[in-house]
Amino acid sequence: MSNLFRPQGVIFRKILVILIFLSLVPVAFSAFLTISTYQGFLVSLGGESVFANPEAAQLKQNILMQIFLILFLLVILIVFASSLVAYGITRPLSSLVKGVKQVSVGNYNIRFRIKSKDELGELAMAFNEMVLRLKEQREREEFVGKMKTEFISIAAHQLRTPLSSVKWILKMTLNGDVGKISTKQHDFLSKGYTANERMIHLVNDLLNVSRVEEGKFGLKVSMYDLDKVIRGVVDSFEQQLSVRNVKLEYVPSPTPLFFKFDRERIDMVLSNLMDNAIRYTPVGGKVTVSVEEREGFLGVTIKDTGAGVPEDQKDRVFSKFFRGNNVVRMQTEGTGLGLYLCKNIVEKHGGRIWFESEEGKGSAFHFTLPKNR
Amino acid sequence: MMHNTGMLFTGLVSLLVSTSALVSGLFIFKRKKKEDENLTAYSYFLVVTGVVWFFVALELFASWLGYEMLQRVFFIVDQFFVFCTGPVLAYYLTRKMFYKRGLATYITAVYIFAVILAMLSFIKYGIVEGEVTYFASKFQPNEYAFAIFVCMLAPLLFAVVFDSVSRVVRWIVSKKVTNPYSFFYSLVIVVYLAIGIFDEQGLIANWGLVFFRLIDAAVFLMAYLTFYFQHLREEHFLEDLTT
Repeated sequence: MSNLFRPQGVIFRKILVILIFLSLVPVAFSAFLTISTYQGFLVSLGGESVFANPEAAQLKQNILMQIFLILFLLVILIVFASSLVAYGITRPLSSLVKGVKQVSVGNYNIRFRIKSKDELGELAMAFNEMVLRLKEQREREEFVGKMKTEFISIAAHQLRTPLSSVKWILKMTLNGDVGKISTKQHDFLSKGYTANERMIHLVNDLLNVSRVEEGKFGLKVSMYDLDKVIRGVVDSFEQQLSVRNVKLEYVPSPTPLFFKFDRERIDMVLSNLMDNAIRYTPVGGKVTVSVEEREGFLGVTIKDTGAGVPEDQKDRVFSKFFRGNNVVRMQTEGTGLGLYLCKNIVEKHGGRIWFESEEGKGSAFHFTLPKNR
Repeated sequence: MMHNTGMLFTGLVSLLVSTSALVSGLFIFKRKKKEDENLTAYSYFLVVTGVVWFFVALELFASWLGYEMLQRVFFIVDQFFVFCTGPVLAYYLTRKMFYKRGLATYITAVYIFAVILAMLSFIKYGIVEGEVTYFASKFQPNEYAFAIFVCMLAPLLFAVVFDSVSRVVRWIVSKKVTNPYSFFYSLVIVVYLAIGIFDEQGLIANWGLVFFRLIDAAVFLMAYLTFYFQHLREEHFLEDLTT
């Protein structure tokens, strides 16, 4: 029974109150006047003692009862009419709400089927037109996005080969394989080498992003020890940690962490998160990496005492090319692609990634991976 | 008699009951392809009930206008339809409770026989003139017709109450409501039968008569709302072109 009347809600109550005021009040008022007129008429015919007559008294009582019954009838009709009108309005509206929710999650194949020529019909037409336009726009965007991805993929591929050549040429020159170089030349070449490394990193990230968008970002899962992988990543950041004077604490899980995952990709996730944590933590800060097992999942947390994410930008953290305003101001390097890739890799594994952050106090990035795949 | 506005009012209320029952019945009947057969049988019950109340209203208007002969004719026609609700209701309830068309047909045949008996009793013993009040006219069925009426409707009342109670118990036990609206179908019948028996007997004569008819009207209007809401719920305003 509760389902039956629920959708009417506020509109039903409003219509009910309006109809009661519009109907009951004037009827009650006119009933009062009718009784008075009737009574006055009877008194004018038989004087004040007319109601001593049982028939007249009975008539008076009957008329009073009739008035009450009319009011009762009105209440029944008002409740009926209010329900009918309110439900007739709210039912299509609640369907429209459902439709809007569908559109908001990207279903542009929803159409509203109301053919009435009233405001609801007009609303339905406007809704359908809006969805059609959104669909066209979405298709255009998808086309442009596909072209963009293809362009990035081709450009990145084309860039990777010369960048690798430059890397090895600089490396060999720096190592003195092509002859002795002066200290000044070494410094210049080192800067060139670092810049080239950054470019290679960016190109690799772009290639990974285009693979994600083309759906070619597959996983090669095997049985690995996550603890070993984390320790390897932590060790690789030793130099960066000492340069930035950032303390690192690793809290391993008490239980063994053997399970199936794509080592290369998870390595990439850990490296990206660790790199961000160290990069944005001020000198003397601390980064903590911890692992724990809960309900069939392994949860990894990388916590720092760094810059944090501004409150108004939190919803964009995992989107492509996003870099927080505060870290851009710090003039730190970064492509803004790392967290986007992390999210895709973790979700492809069947896990989840999220974060907690307070600007100026630090962030904690968590991700989970299912133990059984 | 025209000064007696109470009778006019009772006639109008009866007309309202008739309209709501007829509209509800026709509403279901029009959608009978979509509904199950039981519900179609239920729509017959509503339509016959609507016709009953229509003749009750005509009888009251005739009484209000002072046409006694006409009133008498309308009363007898009305009584025929009152008894006709028995077979229709018996068919609906048997099908609903036992899911057997053959059994429903046999029981309906028994009820039709009872209707014939009741009509014969009207021919032999006529109708009884009761008390005329501010709100009610004076005719009532004879005692034999009334006895047949009670014998016909009492088992149906018992059956529908039993069906409703067992349905509620099933809901409570399984906590699974397959069709919450069906409870209203039974409620309409219970109210119609309970009030009908007292009404037919002439036990409620004065303002109580109008009050109970108003309750009847409310129940039929609620029944209409139930069908209308169900119809709206089943109507898909949204179309997904992908499916």
